[in-house]
Amino acid sequence: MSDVSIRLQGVELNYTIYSSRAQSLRHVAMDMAVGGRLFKGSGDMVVVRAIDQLSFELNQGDRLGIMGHNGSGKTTLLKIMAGVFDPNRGHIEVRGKISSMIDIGHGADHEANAIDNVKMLAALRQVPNKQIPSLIEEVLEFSDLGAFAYLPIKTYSAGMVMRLLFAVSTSLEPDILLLDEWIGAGDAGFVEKASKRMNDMVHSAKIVVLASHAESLIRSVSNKLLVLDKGRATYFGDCAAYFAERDANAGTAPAPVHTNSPERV
Amino acid sequence: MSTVTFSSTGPIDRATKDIVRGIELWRIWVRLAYQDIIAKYRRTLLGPFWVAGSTVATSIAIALVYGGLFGLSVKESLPSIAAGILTWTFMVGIVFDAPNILLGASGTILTLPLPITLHFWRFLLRQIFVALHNIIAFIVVMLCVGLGFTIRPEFIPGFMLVSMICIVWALPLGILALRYRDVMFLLGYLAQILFFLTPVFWKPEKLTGKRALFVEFNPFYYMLNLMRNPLLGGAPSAHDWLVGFGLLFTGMAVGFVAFVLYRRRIVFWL
Repeated sequence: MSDVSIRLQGVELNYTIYSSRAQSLRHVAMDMAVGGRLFKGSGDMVVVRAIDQLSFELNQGDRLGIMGHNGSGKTTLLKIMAGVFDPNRGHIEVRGKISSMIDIGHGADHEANAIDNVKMLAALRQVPNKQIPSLIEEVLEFSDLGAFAYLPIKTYSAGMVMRLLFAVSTSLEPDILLLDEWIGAGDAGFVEKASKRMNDMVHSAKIVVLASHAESLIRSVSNKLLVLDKGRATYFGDCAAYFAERDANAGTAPAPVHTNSPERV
Repeated sequence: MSTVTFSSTGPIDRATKDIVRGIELWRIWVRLAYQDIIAKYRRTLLGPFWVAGSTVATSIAIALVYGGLFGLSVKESLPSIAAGILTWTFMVGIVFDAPNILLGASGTILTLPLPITLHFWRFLLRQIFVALHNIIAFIVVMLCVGLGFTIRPEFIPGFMLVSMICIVWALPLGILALRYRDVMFLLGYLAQILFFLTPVFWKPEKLTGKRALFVEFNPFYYMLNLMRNPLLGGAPSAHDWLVGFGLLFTGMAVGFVAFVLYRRRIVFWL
């Protein structure tokens, strides 16, 4: 019995988009001067409901696949689970060490060498200082950079940068792994090594959440499935059951239950 | 592994957790601040001494002109001008550059679940590194003009208090400027004006009558005393300390309220 879990209850997240007008003091002063009426509703602020009334629970062993069109809220949901966004309404509770593989290259400094970059990326991802020397050793060995490890990463080929970033992000050992699309890298020789490492990471994590457009990937990794449409869940439950039902219905997905569109305030 | 990694509780609770976590993760911001400095001066020969050199050069230029205007020799006016510029640069670099603390960290805030306050500590530490270089340059200048080593131990608490005042005020100012982008320009404009209204390169006693109010009601004057006086072998007065702590506590209160109210929106305002 382990305590690693994710619980969402009625989670709602709105993006408030400010136009340049709303961000300027002059317009706020003008709005006040006219009693806040004249300029209201003339588009100074747009609210987009990115996630609407979402509730589910994940426990140890769960591998959740998230599917949905572009803009359906997949990445937003991952960011809520990662703790980057606080929901406007509802409740979320996460237990366990999380690692999100959203933007694995964030924090890399192209003027710095591989070793300094590992230090920087690891620090941003809250790796304890005492683990950093062994991490550097492991990453350098895996990414196979040779003498390039001591050169600024701007001198690397795209594949080499990818190998380095991949090695760093897969060397963290999270309880909960959040993936925005599968990550693979490199030339033929490296692909195999990378996919093995990725599989190991997915297997050792206690909960995996994978957002992807690739159905075959979700089918092979997930045991649970969440289908999002405009921020709402149109399906949550067993992964295999969803595909079985859909295939029985001659390839059409179960119809969305709700739709909602961005609303203006 | 029964600990709750995070949970959406009330805004006060989440703001408090952000602050506590920001302090707990000090190893991370120390490392990040260090990497920032390394990155900034990579491939330069003199590195951070460029900043120190600029402080010295500006001080000498002002000492030459204003020393002449006020009838003082360079040797008389240079120490207080150099210590003043050094202190001023440090304070302004934090308080009036506050919007850039959040904007500079926007990539990280949008990707990784690190506490928002961590970015403030990282920034403060980076500014302290720079100030320490300026202080070394100041000591060298003082030795060169034959005035010897003048720094008194009161400098340490004074410097710490000024650092804390600046960073707690940077939080609400940073949030305000993030929401209303005009404030960013307003702050730059204020910094310019306040440089002349604060006795950085002139003596406050010279200002009499109603004009003395510019000094009396200027928070930067008291912060200047707290940090500059001990550099020059003096000590801040009891009144300076009192105003200093007053600024610190009001800043903490204002900062905390602003943080509780707007913390969750910061990510959307970037």
